[in-house]
Amino acid sequence: MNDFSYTRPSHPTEAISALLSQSDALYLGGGTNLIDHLKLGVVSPSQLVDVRYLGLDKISSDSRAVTIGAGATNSAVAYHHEIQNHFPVLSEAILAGASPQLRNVATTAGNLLQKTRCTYFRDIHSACNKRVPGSGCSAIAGFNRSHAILGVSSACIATHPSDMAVALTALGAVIHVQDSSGVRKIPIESFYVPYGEDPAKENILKRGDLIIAVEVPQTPWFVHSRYVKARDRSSYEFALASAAVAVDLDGGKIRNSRIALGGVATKPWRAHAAEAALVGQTATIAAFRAAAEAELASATAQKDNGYKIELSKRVIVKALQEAADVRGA
Amino acid sequence: MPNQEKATGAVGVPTRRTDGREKVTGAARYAAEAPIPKAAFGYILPSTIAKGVIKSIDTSAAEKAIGVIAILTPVNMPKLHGGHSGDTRAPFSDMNILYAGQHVAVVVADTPERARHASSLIKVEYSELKPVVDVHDSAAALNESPTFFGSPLGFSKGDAKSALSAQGATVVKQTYTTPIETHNPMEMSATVALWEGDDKLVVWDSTQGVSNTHSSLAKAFGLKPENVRVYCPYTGGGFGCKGEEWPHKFLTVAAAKLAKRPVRLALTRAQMFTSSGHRPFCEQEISLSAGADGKITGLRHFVLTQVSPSSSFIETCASGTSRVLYSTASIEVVQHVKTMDLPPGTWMRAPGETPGMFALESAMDELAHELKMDPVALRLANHADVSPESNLPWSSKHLKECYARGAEKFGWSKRNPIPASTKTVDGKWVGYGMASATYPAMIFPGQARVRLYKEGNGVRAVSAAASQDLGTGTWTIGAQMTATLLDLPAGQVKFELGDSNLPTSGQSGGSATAGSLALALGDASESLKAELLKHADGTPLAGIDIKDVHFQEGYLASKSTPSAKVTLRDLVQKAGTEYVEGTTSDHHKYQPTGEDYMANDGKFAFQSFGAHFVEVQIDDLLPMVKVTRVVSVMDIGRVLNPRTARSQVQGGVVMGLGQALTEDTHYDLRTGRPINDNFADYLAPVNPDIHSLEVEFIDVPDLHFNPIGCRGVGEIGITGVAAAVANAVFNATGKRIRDLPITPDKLL
Repeated sequence: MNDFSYTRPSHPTEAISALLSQSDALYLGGGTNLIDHLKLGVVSPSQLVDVRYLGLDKISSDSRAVTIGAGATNSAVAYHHEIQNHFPVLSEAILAGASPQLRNVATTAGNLLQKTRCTYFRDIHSACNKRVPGSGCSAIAGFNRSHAILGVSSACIATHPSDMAVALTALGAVIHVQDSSGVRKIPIESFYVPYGEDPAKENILKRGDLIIAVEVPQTPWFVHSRYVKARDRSSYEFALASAAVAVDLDGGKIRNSRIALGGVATKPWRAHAAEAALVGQTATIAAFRAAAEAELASATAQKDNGYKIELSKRVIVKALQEAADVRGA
Repeated sequence: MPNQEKATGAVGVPTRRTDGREKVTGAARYAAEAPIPKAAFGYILPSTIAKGVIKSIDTSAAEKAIGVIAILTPVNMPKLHGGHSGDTRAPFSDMNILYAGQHVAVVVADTPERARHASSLIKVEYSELKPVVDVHDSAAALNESPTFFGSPLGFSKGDAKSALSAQGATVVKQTYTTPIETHNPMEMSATVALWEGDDKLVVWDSTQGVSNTHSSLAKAFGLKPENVRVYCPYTGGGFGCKGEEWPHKFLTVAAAKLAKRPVRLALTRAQMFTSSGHRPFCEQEISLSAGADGKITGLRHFVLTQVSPSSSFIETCASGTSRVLYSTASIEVVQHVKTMDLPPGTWMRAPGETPGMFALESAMDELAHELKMDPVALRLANHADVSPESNLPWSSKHLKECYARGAEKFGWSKRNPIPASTKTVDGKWVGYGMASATYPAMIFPGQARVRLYKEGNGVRAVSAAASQDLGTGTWTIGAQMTATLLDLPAGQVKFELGDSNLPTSGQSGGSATAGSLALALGDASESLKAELLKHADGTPLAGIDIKDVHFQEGYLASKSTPSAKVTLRDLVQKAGTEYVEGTTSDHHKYQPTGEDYMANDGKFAFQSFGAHFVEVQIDDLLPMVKVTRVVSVMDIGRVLNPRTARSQVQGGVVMGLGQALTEDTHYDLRTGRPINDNFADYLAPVNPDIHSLEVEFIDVPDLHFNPIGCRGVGEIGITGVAAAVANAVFNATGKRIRDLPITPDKLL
């Protein structure tokens, strides 16, 4: 048997030293992703460090930001009244993912770090550069209808599966990370790294780093934010394409916007090209479509996922329509 | 029909499941939970390659693992003497790998985790060959004249070729494709085996056929039938995947012998994708020609489907559809199969009809559109008054009422026939679609018994058949039918099933359980009547002709002289035995003719019919199909229990929505392995996918079919649903999707 030890520290510093004590130890949050992977043989750590009892499940706010504890469950965040009122996109994104049972145990940090649903990553008999660096990618020549069109490399085309992280990317969240020397704050866009040649490296975390909180800056116009998700069934299904948007309108003109895409990229994808295209534009479907075209110009389709280019444009348009309250034809 | 039943729980009364409480409280024991103490746990090691030969199996590390009791492989497997099915090879009988997931070894250990872990320590060396998994791969062997159960699958009537090329005819010719689907019942297949000495075997098995499993195991292990006992009080859904004698059953029994301990083995969810069948891929070309009046002049149905190297199962899409549904002078059916290196396919809810009706009923909608005819009117214009296949009259058919009542209830008259012309206020396309439903009425010959005991001041009846309840309600309808046949209150009746020591039953497949049980119980209650009359000396019924006697409210009574009657209790008392028993007599069974599972008496064609009406709404930007309403009206003969019957149709409709919108088993074309073999990636519908589902029944007894007048209801509900959805999608958007499932990418 793949025996492993289990520890349940009560302070972040204890958790960090426990993790560093074993070279292959892993943090355990809600377990909705990691336990699956233990069963599938995707990972076999010798130690699990349970981080659910560190007192990190609070959600607090002041005039500057809402700060979400790393251990706050997805349900707690989604139904937090200030988040529902100030950042509806975040609440909508979380509720568009998984199922109530999963959201009740899944944690905020765990959601940020969840692994791709790429079937070849989960199948230990398939080659996968993300699971076994250098082994090759089974998806590029395999069945890749659900795979990424943005941020892909010749080593990996797996999507980042999170809905929540897409909303947090649109909102410009900041991740608070603690290590043995202290706490540092990392903007979410710098947190996730491009795949490049090592798709196993998904973020800037180094061994022992512990996410302790996620901070979302209070921004008045984030109340005009929406999450739109296209998928194959109505619930309990990952995105084919999704968009988290927020719009700052000055009369009928767009002063500012935030757009992030999910289900189509190797990381939660901030759509800077689309945002730039919208600045100063009148909020019309034509302008939304032009912005979407600008963003998807860099997309790369595989054999089975070419439809995602058009679908991504449509989720952007749909989300902007809803956030800016622009009616269709 | 007028409801003449007095007793709550008799036939026709909406009755709660008698086993409902056991199920929701967890008291119901399914096979894997068999109360067999000291059972060890078996775990199957599946092949990771799809084609090749096992060169060696090294179990040495696994044998040393903690808790391991025994390891069964093709090397130490005892020789079986037949009995297996589904996979046509005897399990572990050679070293060839014919499909991914094929069982390679069974580890028996003291805990399931230790068995599973030890399986990962087995080193299997393969000599691997490239599998053929794509139906369009030229290496796939093509058979242009396959047979199924010994019968050819082609069919020809009239001259379809000429009709289809006649001048002036409106012709539709299109190809429809449906993917491999996997059953995915909630309960994974499980077997628990206990040897009592060398020659007695007790097995709990999740099966669709207790008697079949019993005889198969007895045959395979060379045991006397009376020394084998199979239990299956509850089956947690089957849909066809528990209808064959799959390898894991025999491996569990063999492993228990090797381990000298009872063994408990359940397939994993992933193994359910490879080791208990699937619905094969189908490519169907439908050609229809019609005159301006809509009368179909020619129908050609071409089917290409896939079979596995170790399977005899063929998805016969035209047999139950194009050959029976519409009146036309000329029909041509052609079926081809290609052999591919995939796991064996098998029966899956309405096998053949489900993909077949998608093709035929989509093509009918296309024809209606071409002819500018209402789809219901087109179907009425082609209503088959006799069976198009056999020219026999129907035993009972009320399809026209299904169309009329469904259209009325649904509001079909509000349908705009021009596609892409109706939108909701929030900008969603709205479409209406409909399709017929049909499924044959079958009988599997079987036995039953009815025993009458004295109890209190009256009697208690206990009827029984080996049979099985797949979650459909057999426990409940068995009691209801007995109550009706004996005219006793439901509280005085019990029905038993799920034990091979009870009278032999056919399997629960082909929607045959209700009709077969009705026949067997009807026969047994006639026999009970005769047994009771043997003790009528000195009563008003002495010497009476049995034809003049019926059960009436606790009495056996004369029909012609109602005052002549004796209480059942008195007759049991006079018999002087613990109970009086009626059993089925062989001569009452339908004699097998032709297709041996059909109720074929040569006088009638037996078939159920129905109609589905569907509303869809589709966002114009993000075209995810939402099925907002389904109205289904079914003619299934007499409805035994409106509650459980409605559940069967609703379940069929839900499964049809899965077929229409989401379900698709993907095999990696390089490895031949299913890549979405779990509930997160194989998309069956979830609650938010399902909206209003209304079900109605015509409820006219089919007394030519059996003395109760019921036909089955397990499968008809799924037939036609996918076509009705696709037709509604066309009406909503103007896009005709001929390749299932209808996912958003196909509507962009």
